[in-house]
Amino acid sequence: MRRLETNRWTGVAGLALLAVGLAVVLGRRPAILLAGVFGVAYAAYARSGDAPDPSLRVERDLADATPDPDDEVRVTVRVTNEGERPLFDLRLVDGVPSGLAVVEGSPRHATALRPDKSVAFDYAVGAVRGAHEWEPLHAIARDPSGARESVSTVGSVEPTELRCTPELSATADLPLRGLTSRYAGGIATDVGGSGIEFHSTREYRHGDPLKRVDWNRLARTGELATLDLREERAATIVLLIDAREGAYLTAEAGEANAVERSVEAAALAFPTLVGGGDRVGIAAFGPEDLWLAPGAGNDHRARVRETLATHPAVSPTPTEGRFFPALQFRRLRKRLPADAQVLLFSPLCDDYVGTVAERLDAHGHLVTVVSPDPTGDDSPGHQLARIERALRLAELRRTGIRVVDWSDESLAAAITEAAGRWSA
Amino acid sequence: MSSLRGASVAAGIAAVVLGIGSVVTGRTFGFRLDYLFVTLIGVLALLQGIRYVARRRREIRFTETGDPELRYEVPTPGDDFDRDLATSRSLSSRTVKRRRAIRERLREAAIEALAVRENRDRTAAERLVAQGEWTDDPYAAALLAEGSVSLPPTAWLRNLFRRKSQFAHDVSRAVDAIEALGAGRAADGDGRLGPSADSDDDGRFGPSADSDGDGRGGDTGGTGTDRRDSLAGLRGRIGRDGRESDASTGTPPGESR
Repeated sequence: MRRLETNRWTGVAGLALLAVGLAVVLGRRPAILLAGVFGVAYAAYARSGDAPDPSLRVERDLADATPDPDDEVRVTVRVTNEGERPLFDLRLVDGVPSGLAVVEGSPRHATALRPDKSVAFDYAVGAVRGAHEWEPLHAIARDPSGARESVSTVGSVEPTELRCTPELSATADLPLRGLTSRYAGGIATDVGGSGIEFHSTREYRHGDPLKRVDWNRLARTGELATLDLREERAATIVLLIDAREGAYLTAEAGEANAVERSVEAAALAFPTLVGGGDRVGIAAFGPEDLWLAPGAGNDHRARVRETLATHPAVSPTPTEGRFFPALQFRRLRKRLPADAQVLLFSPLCDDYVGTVAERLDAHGHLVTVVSPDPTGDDSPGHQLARIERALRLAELRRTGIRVVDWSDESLAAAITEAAGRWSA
Repeated sequence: MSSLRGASVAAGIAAVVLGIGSVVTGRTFGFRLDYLFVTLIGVLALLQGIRYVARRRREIRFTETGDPELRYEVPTPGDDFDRDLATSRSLSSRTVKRRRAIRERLREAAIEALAVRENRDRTAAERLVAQGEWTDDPYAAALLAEGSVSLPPTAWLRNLFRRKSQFAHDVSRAVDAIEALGAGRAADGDGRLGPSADSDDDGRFGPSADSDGDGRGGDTGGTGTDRRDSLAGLRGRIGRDGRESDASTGTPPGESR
C-alpha cells in the first residue's frame, strides 16, 4: 500500500497566516484577523485526518466465462468494506485484462462505504480470442478532508478468467490447393504406385488389380500391362506463427494486431488443410515455446483449437521473456520433419523474418508466407514502412517463395488473388 | 492518528479557544500584548503565510490510474521514423545524427525501389540517387543526393510560410517520390529472371500488392516438389521454379517434365 499527501489544503493555512500577519502589520485591524480564523479552522481540519487503511473484499462475476469472439460479457464487481472504520472517499478501478476493451459502462467507481457495507458496479467487455485473467482491483482511499491518500491493490476472492476459444470451422474453404498439390490429400511424388495421376506402365505381374490394367494397350497390341500411378502421400505442413514482440503491430489502435490476425489465419488454414487429408502442426517463433507436431484426427484438432486460443505464445498481447532468435531457429529446424512444408504467418515488418523464411526454404521445406498487412499511410514514417514492407515481399517473391499479402479483404480473397499470380 | 499529531491538534484547538475566549471576556491570560510583541507575531505570521502560499504552487499530488478501458496498445510500423522526424527540428549534434540516419534510410529505400521496381542493377540505382536523377521532384532529389542539387528559386520563399520544417517537408516529398517509383516500367510475367513487377497500373506500394510471377510448377503434377526431396538443400530450385530454366532453355514456366 502506498500513502501520499495530496497537498490540497496547503494554501488555506497560508492564507490564514497571511490574514493574521496583515492584520497586525496594517495597523491592528481586528476584522482581517477574524477572517484568518476560518483559514485556521480549515487547516486544522486538513491536518486532523490520516490516510485510511482499507480492508476490502472483492467479488467479481462474469456473465459468461467462455464466450464466443465479439460477444459482450457483463462483469459485475462487488466490493465490501471489511474494516472497522468507515471509508469516506473510496475510488475503485478494476483491473481489466490488457487484451480486452471495455465496450459499455466503466470499470471505475467512486463511493463511500461504512463498515460491512458493500457496493456493486458493472461494465461490459468485448470478448477476444485468448485466455484473459483479471488483475487486482485498485482501491484509492482518502481521509475526509482529502489531504491524505492511500493506494492499494485487492485481488478478488477467486481468480477471474475469461476464456474465449473459438471453434475451428469444420471446412474453412480457403483456396489452398495450389500450396500442396492439386490432389486431395497429397503431394504427388515421383514414385509409381497407386494413386490418381498416370505415371508409367510396366509389365503385368500376377496379382495386379484388374482395374489398373491398361486396357487400351491390351486392345491395341494384345499385351497385358499395368498402369503405375503417382503414389500419393499425405503432406506434412507446419503452421509457423511469427509471435515476436516486433510482430505485434497494427495500423489503427483498437484493431486486431498482426499476431492476432496471424492466429486467425492459422485457425482458418488448419481445417482446410486437415480436411484435405494433410497432417498439420502448429509452431510459434517467439519468446514462448510452442510446438504441436503435425498430426490429424479429432484429438489433435481439439488440441490445436485450445492451443491457438489460449497458449501464451500466441496471446493477443506480447509476453515478457528473453528471445534468442538463433537458438529458436535451430530448435525449429531440428523439430521440423524432413518433408514438412511451412506456412509462415508474419507481418514481414522487419528483415529477420525474411531470412528465416529463406533459410527454411533453402533447407528443403517449401515455404509459403501469409502476411497480414499492419501498415498505414497517414504519415511519412508509416508510408515508408509500407514501402519497405512491399520491397521485402518483392524480395521474397523474387527468391521463389510465395507470399500472400493480406490487408483488408477476407483471407480467402487475398489467397485467391495471390494464387492467380502464381502461374500454373 | 499519531500521538504527536493528536497532541498538536489538541494544542491548536486550545490556542484557538483561548484566543476566542480572550476576545470574548476581554482578558489576556498572562500574555502582555505590547506593541513589539504583537508586531513580531504579525511579521512571523506573514512570513509563514508567504511560505505556505509559495508551497501551494507545488503540484497537487494524486494517483494516476492508467487506462484499463483500452486494449494494450501496439505500435504501427514506422512510428519510430515519425518520432525521429519530429525530434529533429533543431540543429544539435544529436539531431544532425538523426537526420543523417533518416536520410540513409530513405536512400536505402529509394535504391531498393529502383532496383526492384524499375529493374535496374544496384550500382546504377545508387548513381541515380546520388545525382538526384531518380525523380522529378526537386526537393526529394536534393534531400538524397550527394553534394547539392539546385532547388527552385522559390523554395526559400515557400519555406518562410510553411509550418513544418524544411527537412520534414523534404522527407515527406521524398517518401511520396519513392512510392511513385516503378509506375512506368514494363509489366513482368513471362518468366524473366529478375524482379517481379506490379500488375497494377499505378505501381502503388499499397494493399493491392505486386504479383510475383514465380511460375511455380507445383500445380501441374508437382514435378518441382519431388525434385525437392532429392535436391533438398540445393538453392538452385531446378524444376520447382521454371524461371531459371527459362533463361537458359526458353521453355515456358510450369511445363511438366
